[in-house]
Amino acid sequence: MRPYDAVFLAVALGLFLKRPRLWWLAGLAPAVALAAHRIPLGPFATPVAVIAACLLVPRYAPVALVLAIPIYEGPWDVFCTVVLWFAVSALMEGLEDRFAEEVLLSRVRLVSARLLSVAVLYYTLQPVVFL
Amino acid sequence: MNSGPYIHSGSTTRALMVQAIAALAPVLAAAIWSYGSHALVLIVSAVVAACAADALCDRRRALDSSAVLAGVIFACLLPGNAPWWIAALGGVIAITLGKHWYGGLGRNPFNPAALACVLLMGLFPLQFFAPRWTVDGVTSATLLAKEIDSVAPAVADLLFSRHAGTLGEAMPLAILIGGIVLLALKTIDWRIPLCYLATLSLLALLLPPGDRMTGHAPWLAGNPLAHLLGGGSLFAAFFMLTDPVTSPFSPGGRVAYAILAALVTMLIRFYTPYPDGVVYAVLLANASVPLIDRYANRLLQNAMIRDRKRPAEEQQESMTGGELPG
Repeated sequence: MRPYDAVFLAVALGLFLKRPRLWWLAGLAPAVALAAHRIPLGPFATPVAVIAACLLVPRYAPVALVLAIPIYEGPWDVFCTVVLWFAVSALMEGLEDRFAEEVLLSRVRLVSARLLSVAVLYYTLQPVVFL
Repeated sequence: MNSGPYIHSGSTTRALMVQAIAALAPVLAAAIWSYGSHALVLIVSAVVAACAADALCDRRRALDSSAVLAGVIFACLLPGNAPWWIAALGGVIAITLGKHWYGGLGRNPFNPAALACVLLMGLFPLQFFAPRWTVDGVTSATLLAKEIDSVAPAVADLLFSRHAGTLGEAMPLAILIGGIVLLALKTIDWRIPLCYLATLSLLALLLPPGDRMTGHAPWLAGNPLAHLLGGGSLFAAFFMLTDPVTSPFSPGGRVAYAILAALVTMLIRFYTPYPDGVVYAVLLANASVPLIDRYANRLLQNAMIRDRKRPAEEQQESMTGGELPG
């Protein structure tokens, strides 16, 4: 899984979780994963990275877990992933406010509209990978 | 309760749609003139599929012409040699996912045609990005494609576009005519096309060229005219970014929205292998609209609070003779 894919999977997962007060700490998960892979832990690198990421903010653990799974090449990769995750989260927050105004949308359609929006952003931001 | 604006302009949805479709007539005529009967096949396929999908999803409102407009705009985003089934599929996706999935007309956060185009580009990239410059001597790669040894076209070639890309790029002059009609009828806000095209020109002059551009088509750097008249810039400026449903409500917000769209377009054109970033820029700008509206609302509220405070302070000053109490 590319870091780019992980960002959108994490955002999609975040839609189904109640956001804790310190939700932004999940943004440290890529840095934790990179650090764990830099320390010579051998086969334990990935489990340590995943556990450490989940401990960052336990209520938002699935999101942190997904962000910790990809192999990051370096600090720049981590920085870009975190910036992208915050940017997509902010865009989705704005869109969710808009969906919340729509009283006509049923619960089922609201969930699918959110997921469709994540999918649209996934394809829309594809050129970002080349920047 | 939904957020504003609530003031009725007097024009109906159907009238606005008809005006937009009428303004697109020169663009469609130019596309048919450039690409022949296949352009007509693409336009008809997209429109018929969009109308059929609209009628299936909501029969009561199927006559508001929005499906026709979405179908026409989607067809204009297609390459001249795209197969008819891509046009039909795009028309269906634009209406079912782009419009009705979000609750119907007026509730879609993304431009339906751009949404369908980006999803289909992801699913069938070969139909959109495959090189097509030697097939029949008529069709060629879009002007902005970073091809090896491509040469700068003359201004007349740019205006009458003898290097086709999508149907909407067939003749920039036709888009300008349609855009001027929309501006004259006040169907669209002049700020969006003006700010978008002005920012695009400025960035074309200021941005340093990326490696791919330097190695393949160096003339694209520092050439605002090529970026204005080539690719989908003009089409997006007049027909896509100006969609009242997916653009901000405040004038200042619209300026920020147009600048953001231009910035994204140029970053994609300069620093990625993608030839044209217009549809991506449109969707990203659409996604930013709730945030832009939120900040615009906050600024408006702060300004109102300041305006309310000022008379009270002036009154207090006149009562105390300009001296602070205490």
